[in-house]
Amino acid sequence: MLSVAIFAGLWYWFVKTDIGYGITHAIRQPLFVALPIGLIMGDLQQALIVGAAVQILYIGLVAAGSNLPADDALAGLIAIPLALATGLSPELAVAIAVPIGIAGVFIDQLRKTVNIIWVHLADRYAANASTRGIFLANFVYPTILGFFLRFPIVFFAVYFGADAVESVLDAVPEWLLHGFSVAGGLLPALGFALVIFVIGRRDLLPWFFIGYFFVAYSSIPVLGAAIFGVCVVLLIAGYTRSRNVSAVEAEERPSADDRAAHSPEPERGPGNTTTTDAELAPGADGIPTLTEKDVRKSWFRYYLFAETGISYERLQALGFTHGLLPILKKLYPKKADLSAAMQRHLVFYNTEAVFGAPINGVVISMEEQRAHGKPITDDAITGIKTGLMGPMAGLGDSIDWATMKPLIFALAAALGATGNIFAPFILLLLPLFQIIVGLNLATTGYRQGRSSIQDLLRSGRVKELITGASTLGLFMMGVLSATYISLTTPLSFQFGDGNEPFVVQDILDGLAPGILPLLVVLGLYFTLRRRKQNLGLIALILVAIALLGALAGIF
Amino acid sequence: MIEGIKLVRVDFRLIHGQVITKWSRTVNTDRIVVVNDELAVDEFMADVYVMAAPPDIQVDVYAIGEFVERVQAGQFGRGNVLVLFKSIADAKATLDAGLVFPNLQIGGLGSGGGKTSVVRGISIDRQDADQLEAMQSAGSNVTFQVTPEEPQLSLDKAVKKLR
Repeated sequence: MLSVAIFAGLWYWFVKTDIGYGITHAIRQPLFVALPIGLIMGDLQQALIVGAAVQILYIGLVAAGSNLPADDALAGLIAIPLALATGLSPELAVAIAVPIGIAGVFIDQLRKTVNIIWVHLADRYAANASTRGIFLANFVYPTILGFFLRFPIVFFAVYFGADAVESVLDAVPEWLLHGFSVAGGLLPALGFALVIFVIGRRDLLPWFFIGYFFVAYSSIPVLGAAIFGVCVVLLIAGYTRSRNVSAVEAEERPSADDRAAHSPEPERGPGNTTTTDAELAPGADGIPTLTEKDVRKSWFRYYLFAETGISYERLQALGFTHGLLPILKKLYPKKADLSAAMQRHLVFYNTEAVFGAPINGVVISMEEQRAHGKPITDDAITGIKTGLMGPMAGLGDSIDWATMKPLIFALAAALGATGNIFAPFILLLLPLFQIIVGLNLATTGYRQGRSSIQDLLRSGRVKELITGASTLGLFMMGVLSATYISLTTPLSFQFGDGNEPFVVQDILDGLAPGILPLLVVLGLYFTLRRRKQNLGLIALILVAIALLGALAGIF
Repeated sequence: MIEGIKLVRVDFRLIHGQVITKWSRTVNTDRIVVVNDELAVDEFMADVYVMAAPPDIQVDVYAIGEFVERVQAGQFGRGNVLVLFKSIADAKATLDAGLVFPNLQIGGLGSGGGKTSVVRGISIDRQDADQLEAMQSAGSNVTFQVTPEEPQLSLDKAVKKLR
């Protein structure tokens, strides 16, 4: 247990630095950590199966505004080794993962509170134009702090937890164990209900039922159902597009050529300030001209460090500044200018790093023009940032975290449940998607200025993506609910000696297969739509119902 | 008079992830109304707000005066509307213009300038507190809550955190 305890502690520390945004988000998932844990403990198959079971709980977590509702990494890194060491079933592993995940939220709150110290330090570094200081404040100090917050708790829980779990298993009566298994079979329903909630499209809710009964009646495996789902969504998108195009053509659509004729030169910078190439010739004023490669590198740096120094006071202020540093250093050779630029960016900033990428591009272009002497004020730059960060976060959270993440993670978990070794790597599709999109949006933002954002939003591709992914997401939640939530009742009544016993489950199956799990998901979905949403309490009530039901012999 | 308005929130970031993925879903909104005088005349920004919303949510940006008129004309009567103010002062101005919301949620206000953090992510100063208290005594129940998962704090408790 020593080696796996050390590994789990170190891994928790590393992934919770949040370096690499979606990258660490993917590799901290229970399904991903199952791989190294399984290899260390010599039972890869079982590790993947347990990891996938725990994973399912966490496919619907959206940390909007960086408020994490539960700690997926802590849950997986403790529950999987303990389950392997004590031979717990995946259902029981799920039942212990849930409280651990909820406890993890407090560590994160503590971190974001303490990180405020580093932002204030960064203010002083910026006053001295110390770029190294920004790196220290955004990465080095929070990471050192992180070791003490992260490593010990996981190390001790894994190292000593197995014995504790064993003795509990020996001591508890059979019905209680059965009750926890029932709870483990029910808890994934909370994960699915959360996804339905964050997707939120009630108009598309029938897709959930289609997915559910498709699987309930045909017993098709998840990946098979996914293939059907993807095809149907693509067909719908295709039909809708051809219908919209013909509708627009009827109203005389301006062709791409027309638009090109209106703006022969691509717009540069914010608003309509167009700058000719001559003005930006390298060396004309001794300041180097930026390339799109600089912009891509700067955004990627922001993607890596956006949340490493996140704090309640200014959230991504440090990360944004950190990403811009190479640009600012290039543009402002004078120390006073560099210092002013750094201070200008150390203000409250928070957005979704991927769909917020056009902001990085626009800001870089504004800084470049300012460095070349254009009258662009601090307020103009801050105004663009604070004005756009909200809408772009709303968009990005809906696409990246509320639809793409559950889709990709659900597929990975479904594959992982079969013990497939490729499953953890599917999780990496999320950061891959994000990096491709982010690099593109950042360069477009730089090239076209703020009008790129209108173009992006107006093109309809974004809405198409949201609707398509939401449709598929709801369908897949139906598929997963029918596959992974288990709830049956052994109840039967005997009326008179001569009659056949009256088996409740048979009656329910006669109505529609799997009706009990369906009711659980729907019930949880409506519970979540309340203004006070206490996930811990809901999970606790779910467990209590399972235990009482087991005691009473209903489940 | 305020029928159809399901949630009134003060949030300096207006529309963002918490509003879109959480609150708009809890109140099942089909329309978000952003009330702010500057934005109402900023064509670019208003355009971004309108277009960045999910396909099933309509967004409108109104100046305070126009918003008050529209509410009084009963234009939101049949909707599930979520109203967003950028600042406490804007919400107060709306109240002074004659609209009393039964509930007012303070959801996000930046720090700095001598403000005190009363809930993580929400900072206010004495002047803010005075305005909120005035609104509360005018009949608005003022609460502080960032996301549905986070605890809700009453105005009285929030004010006690100010020195």
